Amino acid sequence: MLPRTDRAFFFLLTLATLLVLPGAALAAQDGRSLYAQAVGADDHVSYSGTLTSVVYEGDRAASTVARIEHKEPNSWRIWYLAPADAYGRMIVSNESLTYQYEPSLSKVFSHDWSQTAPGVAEPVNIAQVETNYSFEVGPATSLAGRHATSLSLVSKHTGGLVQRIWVDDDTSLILRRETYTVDGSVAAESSFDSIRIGVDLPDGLFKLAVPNGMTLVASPSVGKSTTDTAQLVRSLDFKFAAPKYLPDGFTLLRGSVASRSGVNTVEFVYGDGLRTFSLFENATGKLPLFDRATPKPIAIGQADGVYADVAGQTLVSWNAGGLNLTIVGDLSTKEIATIGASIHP
Amino acid sequence: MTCQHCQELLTDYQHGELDAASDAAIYAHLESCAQCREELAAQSALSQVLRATFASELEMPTSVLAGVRQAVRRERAPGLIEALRALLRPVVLAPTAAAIVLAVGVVSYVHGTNSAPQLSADYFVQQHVAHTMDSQSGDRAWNAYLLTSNPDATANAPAH
Repeated sequence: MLPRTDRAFFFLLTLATLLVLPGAALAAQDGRSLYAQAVGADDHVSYSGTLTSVVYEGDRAASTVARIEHKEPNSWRIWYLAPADAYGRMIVSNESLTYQYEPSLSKVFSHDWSQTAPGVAEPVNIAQVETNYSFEVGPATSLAGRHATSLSLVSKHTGGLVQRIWVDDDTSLILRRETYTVDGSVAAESSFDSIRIGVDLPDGLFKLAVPNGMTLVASPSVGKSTTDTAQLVRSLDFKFAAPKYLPDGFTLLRGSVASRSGVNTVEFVYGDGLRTFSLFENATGKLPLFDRATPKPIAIGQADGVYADVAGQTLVSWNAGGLNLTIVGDLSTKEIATIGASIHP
Repeated sequence: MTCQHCQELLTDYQHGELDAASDAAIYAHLESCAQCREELAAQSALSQVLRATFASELEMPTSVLAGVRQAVRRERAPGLIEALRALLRPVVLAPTAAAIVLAVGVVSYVHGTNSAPQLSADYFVQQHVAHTMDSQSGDRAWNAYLLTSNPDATANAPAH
C-alpha cells in the first residue's frame, strides 16, 4: 500500500496525463486538419491579389511582385510587375497547359506542366507530409487585412522548423509562407500584400489563346516524368549511379530524361512531402557554368565539387567516374554532400 | 652446288664476305672441282696485280667521289616496301602500336570530355523547378517566374 502522499501524487499525475494527452492529440489533429484545408483551399476559392515573393541567396535577395487572379478550381492568371526583366510577362494556366505571354518578344511560350510535374493538379499527399512533419498551430494574427492563424511544420527527424504558413481563418487560403534553412534563417518568403476573395472573374480572362501578331512556341525542353525509373535507367547510354543514402523521410518520386545541346541528362526527383531535391547525371564530365552566382569549393567524398545558391535552391555539382553529377534542392549543402558521397559511379 | 653458282660467288669468297654456310659450301666445292680452283687462282692473281699497281694512295676525282656517294645513298635509301617492312619489325611495331593506342585513347578522352557542351546552373534549377511544381516548399508565382525566365534559351521547337 502506497503512502497517502504518494497516492495523491499518482492521482494528480494520472489526471494531468489524461488532461494533457488528449489536448496534444487534438492540437496535432487540428494542425493536420488546418494544413489539409490550406493546401487544398484554392480548389474551392476564387481570389485576386498581389503577391510578393522574396528568395534569399546568401548575402543577396531576389524578389518578384505578381498580380494573381485565380478562378477555382484550377484557372490561373499571373501578371508580373517586378523584377524589371519580367515586367509585362503574363502566365495563363489551367494547371496542366500553361501559356507564357512575352509581349517584348511577340511570342507565346507553351508549357505542359502536367507532363513534368504530374502532381501539380493533384491533391497534396498529406499522409507523406504527416509522416515526416508535425503540425504546430500558432497564434492568431492579421495579414492583408484578414484574420489568419499560423501553422508551423517541424521535422520529426531533426526537430527543425522547415516551413510556416499563415492560413486565412475564413477560407483557409495560405496568405503568407516562410521556408527556413537548416540553421533556422529564412530562405524564402511570399506574402499577399492585398487580396480580394470570392471575386467573380470572367472565364475569358483565363482563355489559352494566341493574340494576333504573336507566335506560339513550345518550351522549355523539359523531360516527361515517369515513375518507371527502372526502365528509365535501362534506356540511358551511360550507367546511372544511385545514392545509397537519403535523408530521413525522403523517397524516390519520379524520373525523366531531357536533352539539351546534345547532352542527355537524367533527373531523379526525391521528396519527403514538403522538401524536394533532384539528382542529375550526364556523361559530360563537366561542371555547370554559373552565370548568376559564384560557386564555392566543396568536397563530395573524394571528389572536388562546387556549390552555390541559385534562385533559392542549393546547387552542388561534381565529377566522378566520367559523369557530371549535380544535385539541386532545398536542402543544406551538408545534406547534399552526404547524399553525394554515397553515390559511386 | 654447280660450278656456275660457285664462280658467281668466288669474288665474295675470296674477300671473306660470304655467310658461314655459303662459305663452307664453296670450300667443299673447290675441294672437288679443279676448274673452279683454277678460276679462284686466276682471280687471286689479278687481285695481287691490282693491289701492287695501286699500292700508292691516289686521290679520287671529285666527280667520281660524288657519284660514288650518290650511288651509295641511293642504294641505302629504302623503298616503300622496305621502309614498311622495317617499320613492321616487332622491335619497332610493338612500342609504336602502344604509343598510338595511348595517344588515340588520350585524344578521344580529351575530345570526348572537352567537346561536350557545358550546361548552365540555371538549366539544372529550371529542370528541378519544372519537375517539382507540385511541391509544397515554394510558391507558384516564384516558380513560374523561374520557369519562364530566358524563354529564348529554353525554347527548342515550334508548338503545334
